[in-house]
Amino acid sequence: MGEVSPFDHNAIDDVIHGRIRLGVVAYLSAVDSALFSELRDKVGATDGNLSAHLRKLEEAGYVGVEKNFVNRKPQTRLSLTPAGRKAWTTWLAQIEKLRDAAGQ
Amino acid sequence: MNQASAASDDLAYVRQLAESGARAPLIGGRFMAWWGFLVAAGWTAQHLAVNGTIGDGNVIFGIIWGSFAILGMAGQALLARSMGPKAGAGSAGNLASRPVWAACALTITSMVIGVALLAQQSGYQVFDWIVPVAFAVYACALIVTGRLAGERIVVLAGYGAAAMVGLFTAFILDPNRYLIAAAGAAVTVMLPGLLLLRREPLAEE
Repeated sequence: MGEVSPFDHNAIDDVIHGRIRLGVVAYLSAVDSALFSELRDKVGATDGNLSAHLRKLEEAGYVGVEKNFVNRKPQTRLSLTPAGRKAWTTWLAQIEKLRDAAGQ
Repeated sequence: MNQASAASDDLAYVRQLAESGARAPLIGGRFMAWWGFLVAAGWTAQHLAVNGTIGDGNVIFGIIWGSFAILGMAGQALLARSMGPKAGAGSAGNLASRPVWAACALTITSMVIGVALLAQQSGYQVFDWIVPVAFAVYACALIVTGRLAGERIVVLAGYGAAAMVGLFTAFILDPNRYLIAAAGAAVTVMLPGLLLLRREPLAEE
């Protein structure tokens, strides 16, 4: 009988596992905060698509959204919350387990 | 595509994105170029004043460095106002940049006040020692922000500034010491500032 795989696919967080949401969380993990347009360019999404994904992340409490005016222009700034950072490190750990399991 | 190769693909994607955030270009090039130019111009004027080419008496030094402070602050305010929101402003390098350079300005100002008070109280003049202190703090700021942003040219400029501390000290009795300092400021602060400015992302909409 082989070893039990340490990888549990149920532990993968669906909120951040989608490619665009994953990109958003990865980018935000490396910066203090980012502008909406900056994120859009980095993950290669349209405004509407990114807004929809950000809403899901915000509803899950993973991303904080700050809206204000700079030089009389609206500006949306996003950052990863502590819960989002925890979800991100958990996702990384799960993916590592998956790779380890595949290597067995 | 199996699960493991999908996981590898995901990891490569997130690594690339995370690295692009962590290594965002420094966006303070305009400030470095401006202050580097002013310091180089100030030390060139100081050289001319020390050697008697311009001015008469100590008033000229007050004019040079008073103009430096006024022009510097006015330029800083104008440049800050003209700069729109930039991608990468939240990176570690850019976050560190402002307090590190503010600490440099504070340290140099403290040194200037100290040597001015000493000169007033005892007539003992050690103004020349402001230069190595300035280069020492430039070296710290350039190396720290350059390393955080992965900007090799800024780190090299930092090593150049560190070398200028010793070089200026070795030439501190030379009549051309302020020309050496001016060239050092142009190469280690103004030039990397201009290079960063060229690579800076456009302001975000």
